[in-house]
Amino acid sequence: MKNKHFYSHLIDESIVSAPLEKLELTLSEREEMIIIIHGNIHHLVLDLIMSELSKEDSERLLKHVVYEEHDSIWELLHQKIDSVEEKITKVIKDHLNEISQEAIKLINRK
Amino acid sequence: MSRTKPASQYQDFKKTLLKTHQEIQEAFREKHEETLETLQEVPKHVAAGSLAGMLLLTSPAPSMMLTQAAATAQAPEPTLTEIKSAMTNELKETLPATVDELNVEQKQKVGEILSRYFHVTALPNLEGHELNRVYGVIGAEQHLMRYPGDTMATHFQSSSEEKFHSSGMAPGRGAWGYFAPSLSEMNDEVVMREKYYIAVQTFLSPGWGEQTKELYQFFKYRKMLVVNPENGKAVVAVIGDAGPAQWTGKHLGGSPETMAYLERQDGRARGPVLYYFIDEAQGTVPLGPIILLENHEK
Repeated sequence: MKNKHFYSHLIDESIVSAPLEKLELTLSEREEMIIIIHGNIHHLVLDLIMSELSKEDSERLLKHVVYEEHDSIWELLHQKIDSVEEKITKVIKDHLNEISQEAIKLINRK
Repeated sequence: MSRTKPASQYQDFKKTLLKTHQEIQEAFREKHEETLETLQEVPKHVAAGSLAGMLLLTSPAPSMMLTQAAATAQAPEPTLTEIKSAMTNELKETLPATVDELNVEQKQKVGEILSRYFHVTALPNLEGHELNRVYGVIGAEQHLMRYPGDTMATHFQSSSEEKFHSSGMAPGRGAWGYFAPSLSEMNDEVVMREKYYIAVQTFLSPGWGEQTKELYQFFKYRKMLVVNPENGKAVVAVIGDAGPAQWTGKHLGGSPETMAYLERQDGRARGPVLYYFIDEAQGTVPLGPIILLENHEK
């Protein structure tokens, strides 16, 4: 991924693309799938965090996200949410597991 | 090499992924509508439209890209599996039947193949220096202490990495000492160097006895392309340690993450890899897994 997000250091890129390994995809198709997966991850991570923040803190968070102020984001998250890195990692892992299951279903169907 | 089957896995899987994407997006907007709507005063120069639009623009998969996504006919493209297969076949034709050292012609040919498929400059020697081999049996290494006080308890950033816990940590430091002088000086580059490192037989490299200091510095964290020629998987790793001893029968070692990605094991199931210097004169190549024919960030 070209854009580095505030949670990017929690993602091993090889794990993101792992669900796609067994599918018959061209390079560009694979890249397209990875972009969509990253889009899902982005929304899931923001949803997770904003669900644990007050409205005021969510507004602050989103401003930091838009302006890519990663240090400020993490300062806020560490103040307000316990074990935030673990929670983010879990939501990403759960989503990738779901995608893997879908890929396996598709392969078995063929 | 191009696919001919009309109902492809790509189309089916994309449909599933896009449906999921839409559901996630809609759920997010509905749940946080109030918060999104109250942030209208964010300056327009940041992005066009509402904050929801801005948020989508910061997302890796903005809607506009998805609606443009390939419905129109494209020139048939080979799948990654087909490309991998082509590369491994080319390597098979060039490599010896047993894991012997390559001759000059083989080294050059393999370097050309790897450079072409991975879009890097892969060389058997760099700046007049070389290792004892470019093709050898790889064994498993342990995690290395990245800074004074680094332990298995502090070594992993996320729970998904803990599958590598069982590899343990080497009792001493690597050949070049700690990767960072202290915890506070750790950064992403240090993390990635220790994650994707190889140990090579520096002590067997040509000229080691005569130019030890110079070679010691040259090899330190030198970027290498490490390729499993049987499955086409590859990582960009650094030389992070020296070894293994000759009596082991192995020619290099890989960090737990390197071994896992390359699908190489130690023991009876061990196998060979190719390991070539990466010339970064044209631009830097990021550490970690590297995909065939992908363009790298500079």
